[in-house]
Amino acid sequence: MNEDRDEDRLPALRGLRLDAEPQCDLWPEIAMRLPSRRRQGLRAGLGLAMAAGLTLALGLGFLPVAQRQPEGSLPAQTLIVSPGTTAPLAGAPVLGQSRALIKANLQIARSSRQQLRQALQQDPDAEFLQRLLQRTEEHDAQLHELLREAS
Amino acid sequence: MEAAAGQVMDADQALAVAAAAGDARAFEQLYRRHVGRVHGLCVRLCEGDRAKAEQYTQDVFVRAWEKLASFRGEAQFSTWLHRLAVNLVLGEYRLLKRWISFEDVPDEQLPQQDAPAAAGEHADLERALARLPKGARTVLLLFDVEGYGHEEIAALTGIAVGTSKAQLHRARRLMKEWLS
Repeated sequence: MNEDRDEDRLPALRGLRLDAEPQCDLWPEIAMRLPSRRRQGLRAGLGLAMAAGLTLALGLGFLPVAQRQPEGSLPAQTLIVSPGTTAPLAGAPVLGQSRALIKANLQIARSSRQQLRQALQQDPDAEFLQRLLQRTEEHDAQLHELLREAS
Repeated sequence: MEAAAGQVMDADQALAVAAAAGDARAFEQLYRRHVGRVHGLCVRLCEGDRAKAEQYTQDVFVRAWEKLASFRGEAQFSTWLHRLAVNLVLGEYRLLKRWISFEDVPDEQLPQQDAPAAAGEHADLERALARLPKGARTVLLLFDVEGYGHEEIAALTGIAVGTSKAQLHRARRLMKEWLS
């Protein structure tokens, strides 16, 4: 309890101007210095997603898939699916030795989905994470299709 | 008026919650709402050195961002932020041993008219404040304007509680003389 406060407080101080705007907008400098919790979350999510997506793409890249050819065309040839492309799947015969690779990729896809969902929990509005999850699920469906055909 | 104050507090708290969750835009809004008052406080604590005050203002908001999780909403956000500012500025002064000297300068040796230019009805008040010895002025601002107690001022500045009280009484006496 401070007996000084109300007894002797200078009434004039009530009129003291307390605000003073800085001469320039300090926000850009401040924003650059903020250790971003959101960015950390995004970075973590992005790292997980990129790692998962890259692994999946590489796995698919090494997956030999015979391209389906229309009747009367050239014999089926082996297609190496490059990252970012979608392999033609329907009816494509899959080499027997590829089944293990497909299963390994399915495992990777499952892990990728889990990591992306965790990242989305941290940042539910991150559109790039949503897109990556969608692509991962598409890859997963492709892999299941390939596995079914290989059986 | 009270309802308006409550709305302001609620808005600040909502923004603080969003910012604590990582929403930098919410934090920017908090910055826009409070930068004038925080910077004004820093200017006064830095003896009118605006460059230094701007640096401290930046530091205050960066520190606030880092510590937002500790804001529980028990006090107004502005109070929490101002305390952060005072702690930061005075804490650094104390650490760097640049803190004010509290030696008792005789009244007759105090400057007569060395205040920075001030305009309008606040001119006399600003001139009188500027004439105060730094220690007395700081204690007056912290106690009468910012609402600190002597124990808190003593902890912040490293002076004794009795010294803080003595400085406050002296500051008030001198101000009354000069403003009368």
